[in-house]
Amino acid sequence: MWLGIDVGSLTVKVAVVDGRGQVEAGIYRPSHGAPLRTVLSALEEIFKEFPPERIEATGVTGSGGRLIGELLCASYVNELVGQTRAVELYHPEARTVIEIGGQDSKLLVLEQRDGRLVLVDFALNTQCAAGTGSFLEQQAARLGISIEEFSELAARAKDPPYIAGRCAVFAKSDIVHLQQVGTPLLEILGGLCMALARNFCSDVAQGRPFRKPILFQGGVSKNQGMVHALEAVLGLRPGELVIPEHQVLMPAIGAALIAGERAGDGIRWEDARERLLQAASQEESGVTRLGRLVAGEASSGRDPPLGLKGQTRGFLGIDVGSISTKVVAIDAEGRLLAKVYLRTRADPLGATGKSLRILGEKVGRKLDVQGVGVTGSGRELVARYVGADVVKNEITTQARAAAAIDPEVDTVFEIGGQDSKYIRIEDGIVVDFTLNKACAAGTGSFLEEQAARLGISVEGLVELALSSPRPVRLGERCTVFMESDLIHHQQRGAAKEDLAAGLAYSIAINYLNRVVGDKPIGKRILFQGGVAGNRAVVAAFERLLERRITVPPHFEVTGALGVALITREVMR
Amino acid sequence: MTKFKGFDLSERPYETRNFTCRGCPNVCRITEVRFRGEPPFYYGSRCGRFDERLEEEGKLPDLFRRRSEIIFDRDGEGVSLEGTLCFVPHGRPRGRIGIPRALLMWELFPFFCEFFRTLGYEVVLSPETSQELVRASLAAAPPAACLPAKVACGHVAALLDEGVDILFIPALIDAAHPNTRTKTNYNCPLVQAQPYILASRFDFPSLGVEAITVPLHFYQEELIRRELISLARRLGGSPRQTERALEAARGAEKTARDRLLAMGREALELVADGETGIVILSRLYNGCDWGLNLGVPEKLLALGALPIPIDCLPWEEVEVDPLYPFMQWHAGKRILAITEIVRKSDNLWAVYLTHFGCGPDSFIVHYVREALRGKPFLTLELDEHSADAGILTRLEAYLDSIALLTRSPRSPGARPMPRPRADFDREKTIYLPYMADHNYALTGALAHFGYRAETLPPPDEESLSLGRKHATGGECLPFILTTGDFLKLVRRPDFDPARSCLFMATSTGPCRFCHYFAAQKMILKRLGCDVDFIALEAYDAYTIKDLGTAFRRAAWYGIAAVDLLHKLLWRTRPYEVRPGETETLYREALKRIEAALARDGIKGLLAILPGIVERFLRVERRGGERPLIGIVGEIYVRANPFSNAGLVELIEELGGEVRIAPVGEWLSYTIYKKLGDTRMRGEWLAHIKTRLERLVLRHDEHRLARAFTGGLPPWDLEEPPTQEVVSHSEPYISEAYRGEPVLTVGKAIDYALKGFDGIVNVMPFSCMPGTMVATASSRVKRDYGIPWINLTFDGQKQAHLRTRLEAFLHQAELHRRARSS
Repeated sequence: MWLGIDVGSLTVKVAVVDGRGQVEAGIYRPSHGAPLRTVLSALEEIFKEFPPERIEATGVTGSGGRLIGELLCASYVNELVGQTRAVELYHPEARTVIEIGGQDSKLLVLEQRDGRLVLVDFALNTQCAAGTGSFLEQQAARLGISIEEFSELAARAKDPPYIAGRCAVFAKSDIVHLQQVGTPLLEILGGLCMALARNFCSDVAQGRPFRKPILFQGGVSKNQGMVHALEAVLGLRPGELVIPEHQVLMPAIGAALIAGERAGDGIRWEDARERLLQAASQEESGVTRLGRLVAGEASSGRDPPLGLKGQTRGFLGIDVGSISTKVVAIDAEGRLLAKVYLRTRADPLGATGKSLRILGEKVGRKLDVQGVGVTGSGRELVARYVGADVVKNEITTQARAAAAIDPEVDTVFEIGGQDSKYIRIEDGIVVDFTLNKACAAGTGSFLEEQAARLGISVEGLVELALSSPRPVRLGERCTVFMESDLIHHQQRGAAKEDLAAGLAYSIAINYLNRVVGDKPIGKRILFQGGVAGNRAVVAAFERLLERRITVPPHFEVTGALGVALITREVMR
Repeated sequence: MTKFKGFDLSERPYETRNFTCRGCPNVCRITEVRFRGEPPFYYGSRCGRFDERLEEEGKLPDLFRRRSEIIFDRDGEGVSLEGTLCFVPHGRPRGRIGIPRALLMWELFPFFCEFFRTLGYEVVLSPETSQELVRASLAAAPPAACLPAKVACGHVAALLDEGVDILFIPALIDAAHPNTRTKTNYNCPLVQAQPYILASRFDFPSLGVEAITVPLHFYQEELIRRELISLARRLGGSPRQTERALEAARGAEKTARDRLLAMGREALELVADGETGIVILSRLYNGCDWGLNLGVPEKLLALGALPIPIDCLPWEEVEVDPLYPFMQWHAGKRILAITEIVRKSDNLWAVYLTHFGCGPDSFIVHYVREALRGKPFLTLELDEHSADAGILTRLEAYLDSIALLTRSPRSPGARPMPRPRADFDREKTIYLPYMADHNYALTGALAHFGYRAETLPPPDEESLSLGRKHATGGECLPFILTTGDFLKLVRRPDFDPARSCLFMATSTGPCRFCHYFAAQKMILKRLGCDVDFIALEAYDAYTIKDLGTAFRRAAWYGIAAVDLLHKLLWRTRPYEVRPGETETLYREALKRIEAALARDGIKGLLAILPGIVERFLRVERRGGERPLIGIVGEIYVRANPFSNAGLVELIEELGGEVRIAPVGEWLSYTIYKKLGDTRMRGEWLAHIKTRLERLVLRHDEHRLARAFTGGLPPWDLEEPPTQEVVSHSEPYISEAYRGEPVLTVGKAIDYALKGFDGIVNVMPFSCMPGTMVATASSRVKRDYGIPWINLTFDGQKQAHLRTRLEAFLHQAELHRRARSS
């Protein structure tokens, strides 16, 4: 028996193959950031049926394969070379292989030469990870569905909309837009598959011809929607895209075959197990570390009380963001009376209606509404829905709120779910601003997604981050790069708390480098928007800037407050 | 009275319906929301067809629409066939010429339309850029190019569908400018390279289309005349017809320009009457094309402002040379000229519209920001994603903020682009950022002539993060790293700006390199550190005013010697029996070379070389054959181990033997180009001097090669002459394109012909010349049957680098075995 282990970025695959290439056993398992432990448990399961003594050769492959190979004293096989070998065995007629996995996409161009199948050309996704499975996974998480539901729904899409696919961030903004205009979920999912397929052709294949027969394998080949999308994009008839039987095990099988042919050793499980265990508990070295995060004084619990006593005249402010919807009521003097914060969940009208109902229950009876203002990315749509008097962009409204909170404010940081802003104010007037560019990371939903990748909640992330003794320095460019850095460190076994703190830092570093750039940062800094509630991020800012950052009360509804204040001025 | 509908909205049922509007090629998905008893409202259209709020339109003139009518519609002379415009020939028809409505045709169309019509051709102009065309382009175009360059591919595809006989896609090298005297006035590298990019995407001969890909130099009056005459001849024009065509073309161009300027005067009158004028600082092909500008002009109009196309204002009248003596891009000069006009005006404001990945803009914006200090302007970076909500937000906020300013703040006066010193000052320490070990040869040579020079430590993570912090985001990795190195230096306690001078090479080539020192000087100045820069100019083949040929020769000797020493290292290290032995030898040799140069100059250098070679030959070697890998590409990234993630050692670890295209290659190229330039300009004295210099260089090269004989096989000893390298490249990238790509492609072919087993082409992320090479590489790879891999570096850890190189070396090994059997 030959053993093949494929350690990918997100999953571990193990195959047991006999000398004729018959697959005797196979395991496909997500690694949740602990590839070493996952390999350990998968192997223990395999060895119950096939004891280590029966293994004559072991081959490892995949992006995490090198380390495992060293620990197991196993033969390391390059993924592309291994894949070619497995394809040669099962589908020697194939001329093109499309493999889309969690973090990696590959195109293999094969040819028959002297009776062997030879790799003549190949392409991997470049620095952009948009053409990979995690793109779909990320979007599924964003849309609140499982990847299984995704497959099933996407396969039923009839008229998928166009979604940009070069960069995950671009796709996100398109999705938000489509959600805001109420496009049915299954069509959006179909559109995502089309985006990934197109992206694969342009970014990964880069104009290489797809010669038939074409194999489609890797984790994403389980997604029926993707099969349809690739057929559509490549102009194939049904059946021309072949899904091999062992669609997720091909690299593992290839590694086993090559290791067997190299006449490698068997596996000395007792020793290997020791080394695996030890490595799993060991820390990574050679990583840049940052200073400890220290939380400032907590601002919670000191917010002035809300509510109103008698009948009063007032104004409403509504901020419809891509991630959350905020509604506030203020009185004629501009004091905050009540606030509501809800998730938009891709339904801006529903979220607005619900928020207004809740606000109505709180203050509706006593409040004589004199005017309503709407801001946020969904403002045009919602303005018509609620009958708004004022529609304002979010920069002007955030600045207005900041000036009301602190008349001497000179700098506003605002970080929300998908957008972040830097505003420079002089004497209450906006003199400069920037928004995050399409390729910039450092927003709340990035933090959420990465927390989910680490298997923790955002609240949990704060606690972990603040307990980290040695925060890891992660990348600081676009989300895709940051994500690959996180994965890189995870694979090397960096501690969770250090990664959590690294994430908090990366939000702040990214914001400072990408959004603020070398624009001036003043002395009176207000930090607004949902992410301001994250004490770890605040601590990271304070540490990096070496100055105090003020998180105002009601930081999460400042946009709504600002537009309410502007409405108050306009309606008078 | 408020329009508020009440807190109980959620009780009121509403229905939404989606449909696709096919009213125009944008094909938007529209959402209809309908409450019982109320008229429905709509959301999601790009054009505003369903949008009640955009009804204010019509009050102010749409200058962008009118501009397009002047340039493309030619006052209704064209016949529209489903969006494609056809212009009948003057006289007997000879055939149909297709012109893509893309890139520089946004300004040059009147000229070429009349030129070809007068020669008897029907001119076919591709349709407007629609969303459909953009989508089709994305699938067909090279991924690393900017969106406007990609969209050009879509326009060409549309013309091919239309069935033209001839496709006009020249290499537009430079642009005419009546009011500048700089040596060069280039178009963007990707614009220049358009025909080479298109040729890698479309197989024109097999499609039965003749592609006109000739280089055209509009900046060089004599040359462009010759080029156009020979183009007219090729198309069958008689001498008389040719003259008429040239005249008609110039006439059409002038008429169009006069009308644009008249339109601009009208706009300035409106602005003087109190309208808010917003100049769209951009290239014409992205700022004026509504398929690419995300409707910024329409949105501004709808918000009550007056958007003005950049070429409607008198940019040619502004003296930009004194302010920006090193601006080598035509579009950059125009943007900066208009920036001056905006700076001096009370009612004019600016939106800088650029596209993701635009190389030139990543530097031009540094200057615009400096010039408009104190006066807010808005930068919009666009790409193919279709969320216009963010654009609207920015425009609204920008208009809100300028409306609140009681008086337009005038910026304090243009600060001219920083200038370098042209001379070396013996009183100051010269600091050189580390590019490669060749640095030490340079510092050695400088020391020999009595200068204090220090090579900075190689770049590291700190350089990267410091450099990034002060970059605008789009700059290339070598800029970011060298900026970071300087920032590290000025923080050193022993650093004294008054007694220091920073060294940065430069090149008036079309790429971004020549802006490094200016942007770095501005960044340092902003941080309160005013320090001199020395910038050596490649256009002059690095002639230094008061150092003379003796220094140049010593430096050349040193650099060429390090190139040869590298070959010894790479030839020996992979086979060494005792790990680390070769590396130690190499480090020692490098130190000796620097010291020998410093002490005794060339003579000293030549004296120590035989001993070094002999020492390398004594290294005990293992047998075995390895595939030979040639590394070519952008000079800094290929030579600098930090920026290329230790590529050489990784390839050696994975079983290969490496050669990197030598640094000296670039120096030979600059001399080669200077020979051509001086000949063309008739500067015979300079020409003869350069010729002599090349002779001396060749002689020196032979002499050095002799010193290394025995250490290296004959093929490895001497580099092919530039002429030969460049001619290898000609079928893929023409010599008319000035800069690295011809060397990269040529050297790769040289390696292939010498029997190498694989080519690695390296480049910084978003490198324009690198993108050209990567695009051409598929054809080279096919024609020469050699494994080829393109690697892009941006300073991040590369998760896939190893995997890709492993598979690449596997291919190279198969190539080696096939070669040896």
